[in-house]
Amino acid sequence: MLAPSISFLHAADLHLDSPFSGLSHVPDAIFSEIKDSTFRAFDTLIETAIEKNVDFVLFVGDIFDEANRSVRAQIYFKDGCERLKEHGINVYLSYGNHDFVHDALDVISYPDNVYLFPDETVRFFPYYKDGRLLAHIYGFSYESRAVTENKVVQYEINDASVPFHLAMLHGSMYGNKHHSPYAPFRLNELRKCAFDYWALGHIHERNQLATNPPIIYPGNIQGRHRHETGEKGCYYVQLSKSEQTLQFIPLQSILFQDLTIDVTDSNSIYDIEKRVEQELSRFVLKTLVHVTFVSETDTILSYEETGALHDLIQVINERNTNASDWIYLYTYKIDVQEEISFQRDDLFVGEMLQTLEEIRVEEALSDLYYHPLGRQFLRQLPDETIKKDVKQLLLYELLRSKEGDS
Amino acid sequence: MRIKEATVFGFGKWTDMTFHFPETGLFCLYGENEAGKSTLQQFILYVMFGLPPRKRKLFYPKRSSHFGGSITVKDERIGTFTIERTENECRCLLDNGEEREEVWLKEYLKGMNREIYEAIYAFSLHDLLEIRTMKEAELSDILFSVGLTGASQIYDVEKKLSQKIGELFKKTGTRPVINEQLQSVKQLHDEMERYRKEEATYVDMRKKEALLERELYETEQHLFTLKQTLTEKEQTLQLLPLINEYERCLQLLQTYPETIPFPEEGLERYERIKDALIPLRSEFNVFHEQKQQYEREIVELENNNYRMPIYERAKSLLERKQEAHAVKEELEKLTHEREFVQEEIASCARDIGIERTEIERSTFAYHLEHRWEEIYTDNRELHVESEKLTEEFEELREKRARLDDEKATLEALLLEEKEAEQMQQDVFSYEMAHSFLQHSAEETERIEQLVKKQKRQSNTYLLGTVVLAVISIAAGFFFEQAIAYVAAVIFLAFGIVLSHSAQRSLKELANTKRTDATPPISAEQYRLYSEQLKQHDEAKTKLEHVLSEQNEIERKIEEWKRKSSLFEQKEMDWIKRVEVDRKEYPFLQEIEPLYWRKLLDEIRNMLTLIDKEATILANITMLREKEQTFSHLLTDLANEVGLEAETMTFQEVEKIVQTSEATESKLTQLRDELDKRNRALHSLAEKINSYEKVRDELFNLAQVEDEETFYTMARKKREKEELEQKRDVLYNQLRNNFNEHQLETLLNMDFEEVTLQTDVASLKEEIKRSEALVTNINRELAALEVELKRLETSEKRSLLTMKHQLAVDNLEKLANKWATYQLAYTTLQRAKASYQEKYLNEVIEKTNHYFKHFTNGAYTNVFPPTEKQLFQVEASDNIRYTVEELSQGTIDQLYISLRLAITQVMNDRFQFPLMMDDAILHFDQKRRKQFIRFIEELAEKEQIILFTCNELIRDEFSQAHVKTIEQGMISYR
Repeated sequence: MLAPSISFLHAADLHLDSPFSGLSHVPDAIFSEIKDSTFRAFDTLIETAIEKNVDFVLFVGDIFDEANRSVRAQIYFKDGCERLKEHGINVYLSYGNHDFVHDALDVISYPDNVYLFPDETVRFFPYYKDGRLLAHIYGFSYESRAVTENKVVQYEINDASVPFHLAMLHGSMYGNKHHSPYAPFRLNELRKCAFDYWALGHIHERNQLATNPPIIYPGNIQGRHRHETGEKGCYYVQLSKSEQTLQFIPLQSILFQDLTIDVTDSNSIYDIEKRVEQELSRFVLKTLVHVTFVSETDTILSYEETGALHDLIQVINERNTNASDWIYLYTYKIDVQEEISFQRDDLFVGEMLQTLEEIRVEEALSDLYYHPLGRQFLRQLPDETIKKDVKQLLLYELLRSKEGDS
Repeated sequence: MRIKEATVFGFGKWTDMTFHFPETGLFCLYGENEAGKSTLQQFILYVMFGLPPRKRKLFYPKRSSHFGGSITVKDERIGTFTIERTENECRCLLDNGEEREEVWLKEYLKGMNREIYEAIYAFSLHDLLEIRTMKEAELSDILFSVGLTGASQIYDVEKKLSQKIGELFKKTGTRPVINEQLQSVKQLHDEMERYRKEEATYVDMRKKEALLERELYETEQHLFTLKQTLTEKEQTLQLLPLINEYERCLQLLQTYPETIPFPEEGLERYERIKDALIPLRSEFNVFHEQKQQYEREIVELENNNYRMPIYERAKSLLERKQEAHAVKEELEKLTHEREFVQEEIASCARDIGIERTEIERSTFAYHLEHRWEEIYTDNRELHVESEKLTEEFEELREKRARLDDEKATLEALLLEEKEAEQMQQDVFSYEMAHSFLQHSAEETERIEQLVKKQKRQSNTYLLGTVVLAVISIAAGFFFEQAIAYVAAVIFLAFGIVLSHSAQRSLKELANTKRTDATPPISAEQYRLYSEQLKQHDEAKTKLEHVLSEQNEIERKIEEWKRKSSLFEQKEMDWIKRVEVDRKEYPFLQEIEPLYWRKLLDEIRNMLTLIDKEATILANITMLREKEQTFSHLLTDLANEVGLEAETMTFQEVEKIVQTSEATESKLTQLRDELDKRNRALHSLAEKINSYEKVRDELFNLAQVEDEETFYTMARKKREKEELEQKRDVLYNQLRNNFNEHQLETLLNMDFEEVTLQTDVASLKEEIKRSEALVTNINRELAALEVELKRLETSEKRSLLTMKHQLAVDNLEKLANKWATYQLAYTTLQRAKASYQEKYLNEVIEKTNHYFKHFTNGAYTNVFPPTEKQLFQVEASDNIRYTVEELSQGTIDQLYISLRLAITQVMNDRFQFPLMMDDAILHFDQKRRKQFIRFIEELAEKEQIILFTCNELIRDEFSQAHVKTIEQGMISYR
């Protein structure tokens, strides 16, 4: 009898049909690609599963986005599962905080190769291969938006004679400040359980927390904003009693990247253009780039002031955008690192900075942010961010004009 | 800082001019209008802050090409340094000789520029007019001058921000970008919500779909039942004649008995049996006849044929025909051979001359070869030996005779014994004598030589001793020693003795020379005797030799005699052996023993031939016996068949065999045929029998006895079957249209055609209705399906979401921009306000102080202007006046107080020279004096440069502070 082994894909946080944010404007060609990007990434996932001929696929929550849980997305996902069924590939599915059970569209019935964890009780599904019981797959689904209790204690191995035990858990580690503390766990707790693999979800950044047993956040499959940069995808896992192979497989159809260019030494807008083009040549096609122009001088601010920088970005974008091949600078930021040297002795400037420090931003900006529509659609940036920009702006404006006169 | 000196290379009307500024700090420059006061002021400003080229042009000197100049200043921190600015460069020369560039200067000036400087530190008569209309804003303006950021810049920025803010967003507007964007986001949001609601109907539609599908299913089921009923009714109507026919058929069948005993397909089966029996029977008859014919033929043949034993004997005889023939041939051959051998034996006997019988009588043992071979060889040996013996004897005899002769000769040569002895003696004596003579001659010669030697020796000794003696004497003479003389004597004596003894031995030697001897015979005799003696000795020796040879010969002869007798013995022996053999084999008498050996070979040969003949003879005898046997057999056979014995040959035997075999084969053939016929007849009989059995069974089954009744039975059976078939056909036709149950019901019912037709019509109506319903449901389902599909595949929501997100992002971006501008604007305004608040009090306080001072306490308080109100002052009588209500002089005082206050507030940070241009023109003498005293005091702290065209003012100052410009020259009063 062959030594038992299983292979599967581990994916999470598909957020099918959720939009990209932070773009504000894109050409039509890119727009339509962005619109379908989560679906394309999902297609690639299904193709990968078929090509690798895996035993099953684990989807650890947030397949859909609550606000964007479109019929199309759900049907699309179902169709994907049906394609897997044609190839004898099972699907183990749990819902997360973004697609919790009560939100589910119950009229869509999944094919019988899909095993859906129905509620918040940790259960398991047995996996049989050629009539042989090979694995128990444990998990639970969110019944409402938040599960705040520690679920790890409920993960108990049912039958130790089964070769493999896999756990699906959509949640975050205790102490993670950037994410809502859903189904929180401690790494040691997971390590202690005798599971062969912890398939995590919820955190969009890929992270392998441990190798033995593997405890893995595969991240989401398609970056959707500035803070989801780089390759996105799933894990291709092969387990046997003696060996484990973990392979990250990129699935994204569009890449988000950050680019920082130091323009301190750039003497003209053409210099900057050259630098940007040079840097962009390193990127693969279909990349959305956020550029930060770093400078120790405020020359760049004058380009911004005159609109030259904005025009330059547009020109570069037009040049780099064809129907299907494109690299697009979707936004840029200027970071003048050294404070514009101002006369400390300048009493008014001193007074102004003092005022800025003390000013109550919310009140100052209430016209817009308390506007009926503004309140509905707008979110104010953090005070500090705005103040930083204001400081830069005021110093530049006041002192530049003064210098201009001399 | 204080200006110490200003040197003009060329600036406006000034060329190559140096102004020295007094140490006191107060400097009043007097000059009439157009004297160049302002130019100097401009020059100072130019050197300190520079000028753009366009403005610079205005000051190019008319009388010099050297533009620019320098000012020397004293700074508390840095010390004294000179700023030099020409057309193209600006440099600062430090006290320590170092040189600095303009950057350094700018740094030194702490960002101060011409505009600000002018705003704060330079004021003139014209400025004084401002205060009359000064309201809050204007005062702020002035106050901003206190900060280094010029009010106009702040205003510019404020204006710009305000404009941008306005472009971006207005709280109540609709056209600014953000307002527009908010609207479009709202629209998209609403659209999205609408679509989201639309999508929410998906669930309802799915539910409706399920309901419709249920309804469709039920309706279709109903329709199916209806159609089935209709079909039945229609069929019934259609098949009514058939049903009637079927029922008639059933009635007819009732008339036939329940069962008709007739075998299955009886008629056909019977016909088949009949058809089979006819040929079988005719064949049986044919075979029977043939059988009888064969039986007759066999009996006939059997009677005519030889009996079996005869045939068998003849056959076995015939088999040995070859053998008999061979015996005969062999006999002939052997007879020939025998004759040949006999002839050969006879020839042999003739050759050796011995009768055959003699040989046949004798026996020849095997060892005879050896024995006769020996006789042959021994004979040969004896012969050789006899010849050798004869030869040896002859030789010995000859030798003995020769030795005898020799002995006689030698004996004749011998001397008489005595004579020989004498001769011997003589010879010896002679020889002795001769040998002595020879010896003495040699001795004499040797002695003579010895004597000569002795003589020489003795002479030498003598001479030596003499010399020694002379020496000794000489020594004695010279040394007067007696001992020397004695020695000389001794030497001399010794030499003489020696010489003497030598002489004596010489004499003795010479005496030994002489002795003599004499021989008995002469030399001739001696030679003769010696010859004779020699011959005698030789003969004697030879004789001794001959004698020993003679002895040898005698011994050999003796030996030979012994050998000879031995030989004779051998010879005798051989002869005896020959005799013995001759006695045994008489035919040897005539034959030399030497040839016996060869003869034996011939005899042996003959004996072989004789043996051969005997063998042949034995074979012949045996064959003859066999020939006899065959002859007996033939005779016996002849007797059996009744023929003459003589006529019986092997040909006859062959004939008998052939005839017999032919008949036998014919018989076998006939018997086979007979056998076949018998078997065939037997099987035919069985077949016939079995057919007849079957036929009888058929009759039994039909319960008949004969063929006729069998046929009648058959007809009845067929008629019933046909009826049944028809019934079945009809039944089947009906069954094709109805199931068993229906049919049964149908057959039990009585139908009326009219009723049926009514039913059919109403059914058709109902079906039509149901079908319409199905169509409707299907249509509705299809529509629903399309709608569902649309929702499932629609990208509208993705599109809207995406667009909405983009719009929101765009809105956010704009909002962030707005927020920055808005906050910047607010900050600026608040800063301004707080700035004013902070410094206004200080400035007003100081203004108050100065004003009170200048007005000599006439006014006690100054109130800063507000938005609606102008400056106010409070008089000592507590009455307030607005600035408009004051006299020009008082206004000037107020203004100067304000400016000085500002300067003072500023001077906590900067110390630049204050420049006033006819600021106090409107002052009355009293006030002027007061003011001048005040600034003289002030000038101790900071440099004040005052430009005036008023002599009165000039004269108020102490002369040390005043310079006058007259016709381009400066003079100090």
